Amino acid sequence: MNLDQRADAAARELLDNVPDDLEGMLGELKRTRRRRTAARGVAAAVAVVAAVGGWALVRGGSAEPPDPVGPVDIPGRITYGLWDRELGDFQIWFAEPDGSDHARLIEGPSWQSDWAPDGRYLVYEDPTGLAIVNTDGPGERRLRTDLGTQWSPDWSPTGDWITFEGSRERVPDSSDFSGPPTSIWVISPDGEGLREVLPGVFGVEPVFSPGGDQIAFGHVTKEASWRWAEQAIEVVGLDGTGRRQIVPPRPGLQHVDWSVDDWLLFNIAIAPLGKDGPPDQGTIFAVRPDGSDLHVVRRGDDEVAFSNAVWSPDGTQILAMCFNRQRGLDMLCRMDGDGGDLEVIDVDQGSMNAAGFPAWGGVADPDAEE
Amino acid sequence: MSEVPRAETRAAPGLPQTHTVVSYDDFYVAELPRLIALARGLCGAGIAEDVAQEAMLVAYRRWREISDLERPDLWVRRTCANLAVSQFRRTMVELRAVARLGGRRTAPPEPASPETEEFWTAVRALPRRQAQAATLRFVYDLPIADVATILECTPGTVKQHLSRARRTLATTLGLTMEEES
Repeated sequence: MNLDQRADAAARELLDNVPDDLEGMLGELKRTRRRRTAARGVAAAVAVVAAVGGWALVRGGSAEPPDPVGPVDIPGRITYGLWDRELGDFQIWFAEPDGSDHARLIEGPSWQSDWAPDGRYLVYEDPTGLAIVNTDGPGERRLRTDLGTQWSPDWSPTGDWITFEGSRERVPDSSDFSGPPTSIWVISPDGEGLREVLPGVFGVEPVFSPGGDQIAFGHVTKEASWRWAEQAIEVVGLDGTGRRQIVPPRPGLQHVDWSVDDWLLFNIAIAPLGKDGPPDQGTIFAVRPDGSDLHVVRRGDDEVAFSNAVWSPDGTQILAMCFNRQRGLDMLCRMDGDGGDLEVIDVDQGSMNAAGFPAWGGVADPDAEE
Repeated sequence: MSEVPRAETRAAPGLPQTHTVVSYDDFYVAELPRLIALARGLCGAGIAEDVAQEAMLVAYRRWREISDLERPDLWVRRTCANLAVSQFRRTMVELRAVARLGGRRTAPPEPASPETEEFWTAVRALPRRQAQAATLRFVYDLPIADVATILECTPGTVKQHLSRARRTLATTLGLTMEEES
């Protein structure tokens, strides 16, 4: 059998196995359109009420008026991906931590990002790899690594290094894991010093310690779908030594982040709509880097589930994705470091588009040279 | 950059049935099955229906504009092909975004045979533009010019993508190949 015969057979099998209830699917599509139109109306109305009242924060999606809040005094700026329906992908936006002064930063598909410690630059991932952009003006350059895959960048607090998960070969874009495993890499912001920190260890989503001398990451110990892969949280020195396990492996453990005052955050994955998940799905946990004081920060429930939590630059607050089960929408939420005082951040501007990939930084260094 | 052609003369001779369709419902029924196959080739069975539905939903929302195109079928295939290769990864936010359509399906799609799954896994491992070009070619048997319109590039670029994709697939799957004509 040659390639064309094999391709014909493979295509034919896909075509033979498509649903036959096309009328039913068409009906569902039209109902979905009506639901979204109605939901957009509610969200827009809430946004107008908030704007008239001068409120900076909107409790997302509720038809009830939001609680009035005063001006917020929170350090830094946030970045996030906002789903663009026409593009069919996310683009990075940035805003004040209360969601105000939002603007698109990257035009085109772009996802995870992280701030330089001086608050002027951002490293982000897009379809071709990693790039650095000046958030206050023009200027962008690519970090060339010759790697097939470069994901989840994190900028060290010292500014000297960027760590990321990478692979020499390209890892396919797929909902299920397939292809070569990634591992933890570092590179300097000027593109020099590319180095694999832990060769042969399937590592994901690395983040730096406050001192910049250690890296926490997810160690994939058992492959499954991306969502339910079994991960442990581990820490390793920047030079690849001193590797240790902080949280033992379990399915769905993901998204570690390290605060300035030495707390590690992580969460348990959220099952898709209509699918069962573990009881603690969508729950945010915190633990010390020595594995002590493991506790729940904010529990996911039937109304909202959390993921991708990151610390504020001062370690007092948390920015996370919050999946509103009723609206079926991923939004951004901010909460206190102990999980209290949850507030939805209005970043989708009533568009009913999903928000994700949160990052919090952008605290300008007053001593930084212009 | 190739634009999806506007309908100066509708129902041009030799074009598939979908080009004469004026009702969205007819367009949907004619286009959806292959759209699902396209999505399934590019992103796997688990979310293919949702991706295809999402593409059709965008077309529904903009139907007045889309139906004015000479080839609305190419437009919706482009939307679907782009949705299907967006980053469906561990944060999975986009999956839940498209899954807002969900709740309809009662049973998961039939699993593909191991040979077919192996084939499409190899396609999905290609660079995304090669994967898109190859899947459009395999699922729709489209001429190069139509693939170029969908991918918004030149026919020469499509030929290059296809040539590289075919070489990689033949090597990966241990198959012989005839040159792409």
